[in-house]
Amino acid sequence: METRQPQASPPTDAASVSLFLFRDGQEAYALGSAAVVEVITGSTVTPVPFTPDWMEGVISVRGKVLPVLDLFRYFQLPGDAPTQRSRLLLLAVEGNLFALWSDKILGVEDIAEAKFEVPMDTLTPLLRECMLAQLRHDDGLIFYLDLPKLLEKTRQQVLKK
Amino acid sequence: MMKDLKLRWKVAGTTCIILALTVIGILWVFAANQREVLKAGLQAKVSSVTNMLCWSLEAAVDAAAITMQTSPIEEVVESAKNDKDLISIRVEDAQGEKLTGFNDAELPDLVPPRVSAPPTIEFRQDRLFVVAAIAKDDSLVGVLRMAYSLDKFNAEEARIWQTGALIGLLAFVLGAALAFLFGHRIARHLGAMTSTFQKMSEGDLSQEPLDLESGDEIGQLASAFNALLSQMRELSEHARAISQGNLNRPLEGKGDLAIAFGDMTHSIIELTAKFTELSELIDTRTADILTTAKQQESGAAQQAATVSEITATMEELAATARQIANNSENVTKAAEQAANMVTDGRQSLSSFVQSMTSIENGNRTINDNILRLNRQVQQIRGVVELINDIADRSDLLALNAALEGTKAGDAGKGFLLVAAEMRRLAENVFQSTAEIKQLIGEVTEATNATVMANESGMRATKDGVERAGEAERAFTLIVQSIENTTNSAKQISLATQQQHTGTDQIVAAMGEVSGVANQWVEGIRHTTNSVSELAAFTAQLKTMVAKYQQDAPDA
Repeated sequence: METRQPQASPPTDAASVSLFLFRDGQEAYALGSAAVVEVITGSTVTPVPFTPDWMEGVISVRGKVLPVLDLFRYFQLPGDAPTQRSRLLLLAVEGNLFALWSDKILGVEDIAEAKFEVPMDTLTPLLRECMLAQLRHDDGLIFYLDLPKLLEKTRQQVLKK
Repeated sequence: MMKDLKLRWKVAGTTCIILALTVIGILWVFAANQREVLKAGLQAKVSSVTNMLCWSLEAAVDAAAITMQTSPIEEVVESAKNDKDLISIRVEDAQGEKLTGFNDAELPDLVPPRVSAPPTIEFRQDRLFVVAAIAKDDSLVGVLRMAYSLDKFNAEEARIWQTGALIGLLAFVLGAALAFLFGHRIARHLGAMTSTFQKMSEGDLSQEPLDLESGDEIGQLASAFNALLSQMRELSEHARAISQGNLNRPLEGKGDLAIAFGDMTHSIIELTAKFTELSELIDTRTADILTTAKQQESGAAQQAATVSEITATMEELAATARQIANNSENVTKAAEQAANMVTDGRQSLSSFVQSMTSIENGNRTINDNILRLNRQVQQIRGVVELINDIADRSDLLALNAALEGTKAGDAGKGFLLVAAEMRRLAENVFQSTAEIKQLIGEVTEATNATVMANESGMRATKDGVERAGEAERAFTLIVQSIENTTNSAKQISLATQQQHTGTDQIVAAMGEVSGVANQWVEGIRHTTNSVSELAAFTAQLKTMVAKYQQDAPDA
């Protein structure tokens, strides 16, 4: 069981961003916390035919049907696929609702922009395209995702298909 | 007597007798014939003289009957007296009166023949008497009587006899001599052959062949005899060669004997071959017999040793039997002790069974308690799960509250702190429930292990009770066995006494067997010696036969 110290540092004058940190498999990601609508426990995902493999299916939350994306498959990451996924993040980007899988929520933190780094060249081009920055944290390297870009990319790929 | 005479004398005697008979017969017939011839000649002469005188006297006698003058008759008689042989003469008239005569006193009164019949002539000793009728015109006129001397006739006859006897004697002597000569010659050759035959019959064949070049039967006989001798020599030589082992010698000569000899030689060759085979066979067999006899000898010796071993073993057995008798008494005592001990053991066993039963009951109670504990622990686990679920929901609520606080901006900052605190609380609850879960797992494991151990204990006590039952049954059997053992030990004691007697008898019998085995060994030794002699004899035979074998052409 992992213990986590809450970020006790008060907001400073320096520019900082409130980020939602979570883990999916081996990787840790960060999102702008404003995009996160709600976190629910995992419910049954219904598969949708004729969709890419990273499009796991759809879920129904309070009368709304949302697509569920699998980041591991989408970014074609190495290693074994995550198996302990227990949380679904419901996101709202530019009026579009969708969900992402997470096996552990790290929390909501204010991160100083000074900590942002340019993504490494060794990352895959798709991941780099969908990232705003990378940042170092107690839990290792965190990919700060550019959600509108990711949404656009997935949409393009679905349309292309 | 004739048998004892030699051949030459037989031949000579036989020839002499035949010659004598022949000479006498010839002489007799010749003389008689000659006498008859002389008599016939004399008769013819006398008859013709008488007829002449009768014819001369016919007229004179007829006239004298009338004239009574006898002178003409006397003239005729005088002329007739010229014949020297005429001894007497008388002329009679028809009435038988003497007319004239000369020296007629001794003339016999022979009856005169009829007219025209020939004069009657009669020989008497040394005289010949003649009576004739003097006829004229077929009427008797007178009778003429005369007597002639037979001296000349007899002398002639005697001379013939002498000559014949002389010739016969000469022939006899000559024939006898020749017969003797030939007989002697035959006898000489036959004698030579006889002596040779005798020597041959005695087995001496070194005789010179008979030297006879004559072509007659004797010569043929001699040459045949020589051929026989040479053949006998040839056969003798051949037989000697065979006896010296030379079977290849060519046999000269023909005939049944030579063929028989040749057959005999072939037979000997075959016989030799067969003999060789047989002697080989006998050799092999004797070797086999020797081997067998030696094996038997060693076997008999082994048997003798075994018999002595058996005797020793039997004596040991007798000693062992005595020991067994002692031991069986001990066994009886031990069995009684064992029976007492078994009674004690049965008492201990029943107390053991009671203890085991109480242990089993205790175990059962423990098991029930543990099961109850286990159920309660499971209930605790359900409670802990519930707590955990509540903590999880609290964590989620806190997180969503934090998100809401973030969206509220600065106004939600305090709310954010509370939410973070709530999340930490939830985390602590997670941690505690995890520890409780772990403890519950350990307790469950421990209770399970206890249950399993208790069950095995129960099984063990159950087994123990069963074993105790088995042990009790075994004790019953042991008691029976002990009784049986006591009885058996008594029987063993009895049997060992009988065995003792039996072993004594066996020892005695083994002594007899040992004697028989020794006799057998002796017999086998005799057999071995005999067979060894037989082998030596066969070896001799083989060398003898080998002599023939080397020379035999096809062997």
